Amino acid sequence: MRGSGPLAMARLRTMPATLAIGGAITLAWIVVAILAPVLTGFDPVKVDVMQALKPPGAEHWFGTDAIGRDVLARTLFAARYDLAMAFFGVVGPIILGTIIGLIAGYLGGRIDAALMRILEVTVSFPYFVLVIAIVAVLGPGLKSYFISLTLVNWVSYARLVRSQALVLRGVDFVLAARGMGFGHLRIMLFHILPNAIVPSIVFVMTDAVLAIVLGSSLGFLGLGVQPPTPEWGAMIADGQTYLTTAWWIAIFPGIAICLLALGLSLTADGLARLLNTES
Amino acid sequence: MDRRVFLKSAALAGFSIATLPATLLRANADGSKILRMGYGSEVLTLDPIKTTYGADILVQGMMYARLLHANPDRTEVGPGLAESWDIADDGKTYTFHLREAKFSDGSPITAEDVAFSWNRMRFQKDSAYAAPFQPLTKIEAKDARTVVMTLDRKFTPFLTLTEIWNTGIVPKAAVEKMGDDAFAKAPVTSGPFKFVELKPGDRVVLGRNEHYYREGEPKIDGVEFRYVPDDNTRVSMLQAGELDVCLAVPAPRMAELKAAGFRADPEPSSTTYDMLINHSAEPFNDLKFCQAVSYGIDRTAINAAVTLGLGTPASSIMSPTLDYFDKSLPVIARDVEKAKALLAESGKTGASFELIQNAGSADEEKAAVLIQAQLAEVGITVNIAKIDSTQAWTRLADGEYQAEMNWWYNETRDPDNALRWCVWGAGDNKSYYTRYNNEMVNKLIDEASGEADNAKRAELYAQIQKIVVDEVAQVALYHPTWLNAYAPSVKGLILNVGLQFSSIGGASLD
Repeated sequence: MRGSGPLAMARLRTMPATLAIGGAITLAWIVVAILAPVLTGFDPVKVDVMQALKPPGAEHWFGTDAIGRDVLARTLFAARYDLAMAFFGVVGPIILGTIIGLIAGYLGGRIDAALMRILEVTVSFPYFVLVIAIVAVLGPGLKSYFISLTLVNWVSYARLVRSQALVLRGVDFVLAARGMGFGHLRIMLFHILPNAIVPSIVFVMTDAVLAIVLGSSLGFLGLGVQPPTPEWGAMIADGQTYLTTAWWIAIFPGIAICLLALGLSLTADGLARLLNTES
Repeated sequence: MDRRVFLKSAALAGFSIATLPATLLRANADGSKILRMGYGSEVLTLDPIKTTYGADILVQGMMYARLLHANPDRTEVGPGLAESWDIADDGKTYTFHLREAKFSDGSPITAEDVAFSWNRMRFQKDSAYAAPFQPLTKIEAKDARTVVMTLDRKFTPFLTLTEIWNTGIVPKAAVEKMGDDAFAKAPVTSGPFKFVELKPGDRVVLGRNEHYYREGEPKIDGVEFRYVPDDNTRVSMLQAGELDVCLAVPAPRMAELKAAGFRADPEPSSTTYDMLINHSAEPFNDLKFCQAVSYGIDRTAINAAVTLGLGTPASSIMSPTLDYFDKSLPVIARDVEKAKALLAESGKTGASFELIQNAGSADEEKAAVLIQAQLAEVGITVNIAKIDSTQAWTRLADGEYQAEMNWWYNETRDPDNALRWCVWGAGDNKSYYTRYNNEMVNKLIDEASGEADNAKRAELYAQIQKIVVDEVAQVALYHPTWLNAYAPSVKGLILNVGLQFSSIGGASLD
C-alpha cells in the first residue's frame, strides 16, 4: 500500500453541501477583497465631517460613520485586512507546528521530549497575554501580529500532527517503507504527513476565524492595524457608542465578520466530512 | 491636573467587561437612600495626597472636608472647616480659625490635624500634587483652633487652593497609628461621608458621616461609587435602574437619555482637549512648523464631530470656564494657504510626524484621523500610532514622542495652576511635557499670581494667552463639557468644573 493520504482520494462529486456553501462564501469574500476599489466609488479613509452620521441611503448605501466616511467602502476594503489576518494568521502556525509535530511524533525519544517541553512552556502562558507581549516588543502592526501568532499558535498544530504521527509510525505501510530502506525524511514527507495533516486542515478553518477575532481584539488595544485603516473589529468598536443612534456603523461590519466566519466554519465542517468519509 | 480618567476607562474597556453586580436589587432594601454612581475608571487610593487620578479625586471629594468649601458650581469658595480667616497686610501670612468639628470616628478636628494634613500634602516626599503650593513654606498650629500658614511671596490664588481634594483634612492620630498604606485602604474621614468598604476593581462604599460639621448634611445615607469601565454598559445600567448617576456618558447617547427622562445636560468643565507637541524634537522644534500645523487644523469640524456640538472649539489654551479667560480671542481658524506658506518657510516641506493616540479612546481616534486628513491637505503626513495608555503616558513624560492626543483639566477656576501645569516651562512637568519654555511667559505667570488687582491680573493673563496661542505651546482643539446623566430621583447634584461634587451634602434622592 502506498502512503497516499485521503486528500488524494477526495473527489469532487462527493463534496458535502457545507463545503460547497462555505467555500462559495469564503471565495466570494476573496473576490470582494480584490475587487473592493471597483465595487465602490468611495475612498474608505476619506473623511467628510459634513456627511457625518448619514443613514443608509441612495448615495451612501451603508451610511456614513461619525466622521463622514462611507461605511460600505470601509466594510469592503476591510475584507482585505481581515482576510489577510485570517490567512497569514494561520499559515505561519500551521507550517511551524506541522514540522515540529511531525519530527516529534515520528522520531520520538529525546527529540520528542525536548520539543514537547518547549510546547509546554509555550502553552503555560495565557495565549492572549503572550501574543500581546510579543506584539508589544515587536511594535504594533500586522507584521508583528503574524510573527507573534506563529510563535504562539504553532502548538495546536504540533499537537495534532504529533498525535497522528505517533500512531502512523507503527502502521504497516510505514514499516514496509522502512523495510524498503526509505530515508526518514522521505517517509515523513510522503507517507506520514499526507495522513497526519488531515485534522490540521479541518482545524485551520476554525483557527482562521479565531485569528480574525484576535486581530480585531488587538486592534482594540492598539496593537493591530492602525487608524484610519478599515478593519471590521475596529469598525465595530467605533460604532459601539452609536448603536442606538446610528446602528449602521457597527451592524454592517458585524454582518460581514459573521458571514466570513460562517463561510470558514462551513468549509471546516465540509472538509471534515469529506476527509472522514473518504478515509 | 492630569486626570486621564476618561482615557484610561476607555482603554480598559477593551478587555474588562463590566461585571454586573450580584444583586440587581437596590441596595436600599432597608429603606436607606444610597446614591449609586458609575464611573469608567477605578478608585486606586483613598489617601488624598497620593493621587492625581480622576476616580480618586471624585471619591475623596466626598470623604474629606477642606478648610474652605466651594459652592456647587465652584464659582466661589466660602467657610469650610475654617469659619474665618485673616490675611496679613503683606499677603504672606494666612491665619485660619477653625470651627468645632469632628472626624467620622467622633474625635475632634483640631488645628494639629489640619497642620498635619497640610504638612503631609506640602512636604511629604510622595505627595502627588504639591506643585501648586510652591510659595507655601510653613504650616503650624498656633493653638487648638488656629492654623497659621506662611508664604514666601504674595500669592493671590492661594485661598482657592485651600479647597482642592488633596488639602482634605485627615486625622493625625489615625494616620500615624495605621501608617499611610493601611489608612489609604480604610480611612477615617472628615467630610460628609465615612468610609464603609473598598472592593478593588469593583466599588467604594461610603456611609453617612454622623459627625459631619454641616448641620443636616448629608441628606442621603450613603454613596456607592462603582467601577464600570465600559461606557455603554454604564449607560445600560443607568437605564435599567442599577445606577442613579452615570458619569462620562458618550456624546452620541446624551440625547437618547434626555429623551428617556434622565437629567442629561452637558455640565461646564475646565477641560481642554489638545494635541501635545514636543517642542524639543523634530519637527516641532521649529515655530513656523508648529504654526503651520495649528493653522492647518479645523477645530470647528473636530469639535462638531467629536462632541456633537456639546463642546466649544478652542480659542485659547485655557478653558472658557476659567477666570480671566480672554473672551476677545477668536476661535483659532483654519487657513490652509497660510499653513502651506508657513510650512514652506519652515523648510520642512514634506515633513511627517507620529501622532500617538491612546488605544481604546474613540474620541481621540476621531480627532486624530481628522487631524491626519486636514494636515494632509497642507502637505504634512501624520502617522497615527494607537498605543496603550500606560505606554503613551510614559513616552509623553520621557519626551519620546512627537505629538500626542491628550486632555487636562483644572481644579480651580483661578487659572494659576492651569497655566503652571500646561505652559510654565520652569515647572517639573516641563509645560505638560511639551518642553515649551518661554522665559517671558514664566515671568508673567509669576507676576500674575502675585497681583491682587483683578483688572491687572486679567491683563496679564490675556497677554499670556495670546503668546501661548501664537507660539502654539500646545495645539488646543476644543473644550468639552462633562457629560453625565442623573436619574430623575437625584436632586441637587451637579459635577463642577473641577471634577467635584461640591453639592453632595445637600443632594437628595427621592
